[in-house]
Amino acid sequence: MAEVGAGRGAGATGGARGVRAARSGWFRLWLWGDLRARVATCFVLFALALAVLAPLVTSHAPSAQGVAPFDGPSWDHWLGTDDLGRDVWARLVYGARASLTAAFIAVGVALALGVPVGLVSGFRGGWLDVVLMRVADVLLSFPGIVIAIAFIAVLGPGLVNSMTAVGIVFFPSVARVMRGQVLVTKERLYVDAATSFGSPPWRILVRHVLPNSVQPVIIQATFLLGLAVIAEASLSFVGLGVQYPSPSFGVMLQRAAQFISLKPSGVYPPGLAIALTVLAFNALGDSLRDALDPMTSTRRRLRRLRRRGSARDLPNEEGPR
Amino acid sequence: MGRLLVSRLVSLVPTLILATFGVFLLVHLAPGDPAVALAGDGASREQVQRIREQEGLDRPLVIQYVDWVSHAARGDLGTSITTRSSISDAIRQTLPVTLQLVAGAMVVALVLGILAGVASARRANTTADAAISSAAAMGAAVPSFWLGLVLVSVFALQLGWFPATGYVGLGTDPGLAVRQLVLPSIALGIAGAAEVARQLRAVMIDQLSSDHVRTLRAKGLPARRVVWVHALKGSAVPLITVIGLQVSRFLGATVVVEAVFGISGIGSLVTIAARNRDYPMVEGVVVVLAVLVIATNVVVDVCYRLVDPRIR
Repeated sequence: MAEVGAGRGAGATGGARGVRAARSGWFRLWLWGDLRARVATCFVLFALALAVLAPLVTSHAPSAQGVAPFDGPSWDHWLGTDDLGRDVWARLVYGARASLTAAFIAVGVALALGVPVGLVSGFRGGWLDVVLMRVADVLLSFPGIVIAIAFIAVLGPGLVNSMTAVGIVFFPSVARVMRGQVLVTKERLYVDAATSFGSPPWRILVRHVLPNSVQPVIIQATFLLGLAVIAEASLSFVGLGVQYPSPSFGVMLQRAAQFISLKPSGVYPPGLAIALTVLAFNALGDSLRDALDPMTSTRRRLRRLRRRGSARDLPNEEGPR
Repeated sequence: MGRLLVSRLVSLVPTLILATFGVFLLVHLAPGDPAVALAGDGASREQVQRIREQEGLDRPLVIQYVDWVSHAARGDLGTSITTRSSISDAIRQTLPVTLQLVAGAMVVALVLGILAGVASARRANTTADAAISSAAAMGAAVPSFWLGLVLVSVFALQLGWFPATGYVGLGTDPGLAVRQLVLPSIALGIAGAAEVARQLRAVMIDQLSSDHVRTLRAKGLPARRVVWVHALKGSAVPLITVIGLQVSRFLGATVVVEAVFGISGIGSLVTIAARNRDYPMVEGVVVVLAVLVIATNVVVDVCYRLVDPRIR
């Protein structure tokens, strides 16, 4: 009996190691085989590094006022100065800190609410599923920012409150994706096997269904990070998110907009930062989806391979014309 | 058609109840006593109690909800905490402004989106197609309010072609009103145009390789007629779906775009109300927007039927 147990344990760890190797294999393949993924990953890491290392990247304090407002770029002020003579680069770097924190709060809240709800809804089914998904549908059909504003009216403005509101707005879409995948996963043979061994439902849910269903949610979370950056900027712009004078992309845009007739170019640094961050998260999500979801990605990958000339022997996907 | 409309309207009742009850609960379970807020600063305990009884705030929540909904259905959304004036009046003044903006954005989204979508479908998998698709991806990623700021900076301040901010009614000065509407409509509409183009390209490529289009070509119909009349009609159902979704998107994005252009529409109304914690006002605006979105869904459903009689 003991030998059987030991043998099974050894086999299991060997299998897990094999799986881990295979996983890191696709990860490396994805990262180095896909230029878009590489560029997007580099940009996101670069932005994160700037945000974390802000005091090392700039010698100016984000709130230190100077004598020369609306200055152009110079050696001392790389991106010029704003309406109070503050260094725009310093505010941008510290703003990235606030905006990325905001994005992670919103997506964190969305995942914390959406994953359990989707898991239970899909696994249990029945009336609970019907009710939860009905509520999600209603929430999803309305303009998200308006619902977020309603929540902010209750919670009060500010970085954490406004992004919690955004997370609440995001959560039905996470729950929907999670539920969809759980519906597929719970029909798998290993779930039947676990059931027949007498595993309690919560254990099946946590040990088997959850880890095998999170992939689409991870892809979706990447897109949501991009949306959350826009949400932070929008809400801060109308004074409901990060509060001036703390820097964030949205606060900087709001300030630049107030003085747009004095310095029209002031809207570019924060705006481009938002656009690039969103594009990077979107590109990351796209290429993650390509790498993880074989159904939608095969055609794309084939095309890319053929363009690179390494797949000349592959069949023509379009077929004869 | 009449029966379809009625059945659609009836099926919306649960959605409507869910949406209004959700908003109602959110606002009424919020921290802080609305009676205290209504009474204002320095009110005595008796005054607060009197207001609570006057406004019916001491009744069970469900009764309060039914009362609120029945008033709302008759166009009475209550009074604002901060301005003490009618919420319905405030919405009646600002909603037309927002709807004009949304209509302008829709024109931009449809004209640009359909032109770009058809052009890239006809040249599928060429450089031109790739260029249009990349432009669409950019258009979808750029936040509309930042696009608005860039448009103001370039076309209003540097080139002076359009006024930077402000709003006058179409009735007062039609020329100025249209000129003022151009930049905000573009800012709001570009993301929609990108989405329309993306979806239309996919359906159109399908349509152009379908049998009935091949037959039309074979019998010698000019290419322009094939594309713009027959293939476009075949793409109508997915196109209508996308357009319907854009209404909801525009109603959301307008909140911030209005702030950029200094337009006092319903978006400005709700942000100011949220900043002042004017719960009844926020409640009123959200309900009106919810009804608008739901109404759009009905219109979309009816359009499906008009375009394609096979649907239900």
